[in-house]
Amino acid sequence: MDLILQLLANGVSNGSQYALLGIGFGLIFGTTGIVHFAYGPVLAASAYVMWWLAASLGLPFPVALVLGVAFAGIAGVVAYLVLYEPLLARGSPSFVVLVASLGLFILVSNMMAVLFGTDAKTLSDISYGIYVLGDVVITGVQLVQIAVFVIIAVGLAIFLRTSAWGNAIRAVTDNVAMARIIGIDTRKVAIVVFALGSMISAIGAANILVRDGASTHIGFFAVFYAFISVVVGGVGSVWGAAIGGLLLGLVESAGMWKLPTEWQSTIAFMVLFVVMLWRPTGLLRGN
Amino acid sequence: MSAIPPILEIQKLSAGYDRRRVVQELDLAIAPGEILLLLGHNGAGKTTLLSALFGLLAPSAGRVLYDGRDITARAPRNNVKNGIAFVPQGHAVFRRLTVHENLVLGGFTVTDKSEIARRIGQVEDLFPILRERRSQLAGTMSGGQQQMLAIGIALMLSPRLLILDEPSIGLAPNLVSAVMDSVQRVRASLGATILIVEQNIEKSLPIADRVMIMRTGRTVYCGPPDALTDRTVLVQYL
Repeated sequence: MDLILQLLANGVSNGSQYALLGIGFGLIFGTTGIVHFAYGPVLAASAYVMWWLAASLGLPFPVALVLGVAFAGIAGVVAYLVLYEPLLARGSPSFVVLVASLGLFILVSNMMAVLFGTDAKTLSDISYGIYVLGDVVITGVQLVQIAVFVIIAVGLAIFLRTSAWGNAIRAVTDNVAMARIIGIDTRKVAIVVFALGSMISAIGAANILVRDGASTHIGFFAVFYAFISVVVGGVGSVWGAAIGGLLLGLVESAGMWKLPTEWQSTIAFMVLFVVMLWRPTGLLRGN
Repeated sequence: MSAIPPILEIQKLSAGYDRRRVVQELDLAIAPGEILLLLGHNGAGKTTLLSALFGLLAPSAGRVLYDGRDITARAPRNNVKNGIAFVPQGHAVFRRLTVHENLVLGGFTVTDKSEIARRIGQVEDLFPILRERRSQLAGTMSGGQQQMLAIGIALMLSPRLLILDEPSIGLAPNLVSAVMDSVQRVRASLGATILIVEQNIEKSLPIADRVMIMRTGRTVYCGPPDALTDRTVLVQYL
C-alpha cells in the first residue's frame, strides 16, 4: 500500500509536469494547427537563460524566472513571425511547416550546445526540501510541480472562458474560417497563443532547471511528452492536454514499479497507441 | 428627386483561383433595404463573387464600393466593422461552443457588453429556439437550428448588409421555408439589405425584390422576380 501511494504521488507529480507542458504545446497546436516542435528548444533556451541570469549574473531566482518566461514568450512569437507565418502565407502544405519546425528544433538545439556546452547547468543553491507525508516521501520540487500545474491550468481556463482574447482563441480553435468571418484578427490570435504557450513552457523549464538542471536534451523530452499528452487528451482541448499528461505520469509511474527506467519512453508510446486505437480523437474528443 | 445611392456597388469585378477566372467583369448595384436573390448553377461563380466582395478572396480586377467607399480586397474584419455580415455555406457555427457563446462571439467587434446582451435578446426574439437551446453545444443541434444560429451570429453585428450563401443547403423542405421566413423577418426588423445566393428557387423567389442570374461568371439576367415565375422563362437563363 505504501508503495502504491508513493507511486501515485510520483505519478501525479510527473504527470503535472507533462500536463503543464501539454497545455502550452496544445494551446499552440490546437489553435494554429502548427506542430511546433521548436517548443522544445524554446523551453531549453529559457532554462539556460534562467540559469545564466541566476548563476552567472547573480539575480534572485524569481527575477530570473520572470525574465526567462518573458524570453520564451518573445522567442515563441519570433518563431511564428519569422518561420511559420511566411510559410503559411505562401500556402505551404502542413508537412513543409512540420519539417521547418523540426529544422528549427535542430538549429536551436545545436546553437545552445555550442553556446553553453552539453553538460547540465544546475542551480546548486536552490532547494525546496523533502517532506514526509505519512509513508510517502515527496520533494519540494514535486509539490511545486503539482501546484504550478493547478495554478496555470485553472488560470488559463478562466482566461479562455471569460476574456475577449480567450473567446477569440476558442473561436479560432473551433473554426478558423468562421472566426475570420466574424471579425477576429486570426494573426493576432496566433501571436498571442505562441507567446502564451511558450511562456507556459518556460514555467515547465524552471521546474526542470531546479530538479535536474538545464541541458540541450531537455527540449526533446519536453516536446515529446507534451505532444503525447495533447494527442492522448484530444487536440484543441486544454483540459484534454491536462488529463493526457496526468494519465501519462500515472501510467508511467505504475510501469516503473516493475520495469527499469529505460522503459519510460516506451510506456509513453504504449499509452499513446492504446488511446489512439480506443479513441482516435483523444480522451476528450478533440479536433 | 435624386435616386437613392446603392449600398453596394460592384464594378467590372473579376475574381478566381490561380489563373482561372470564375467571375468575369461583373457589374452589380444593390439598393438599401433590398433583397437581391442570386441564382445560377454550380460553378457559375456565385460563391466566388461573395468571397471577393467580402474580402475572403482578392479580386483580380474591378472595384467593390460600399456606401460609396472603395472596399476592394479589404480584410473581412474591416468589412465586419463597417456593418457587412457574411453567412457562408454549410452550418457556419462554432460547433464545440454553446449557442450563447456563439452569439457572444458574433458580437466580437462590439465592445459594449450591454449592447451585446441587447442584441442577443433581439436575435433570440427573432429565433426563439436559440433561447431554448442557449446552453446546448451548437454542434449537437439539428441542421435547421444550426442555420438559424449561423444567421443569428451574423445578426449580432447588427449588419446593414447581410450576405447569405445558400442558407437552405441540406435542409428539409419545411426548414427551408423557416429559413426564408427568417430572412424576411431580418429585413423587417433590422432594415438590413440582403444578398442571398440560393439553389432552392421555388422557396427563395417569393422573398426576393430582384433576381440576378449568373452563368460562367457573368450576369445573364438581372430584374424583377415576376418575370421568372414562368418556368419556361427561368429555364432559358439557367
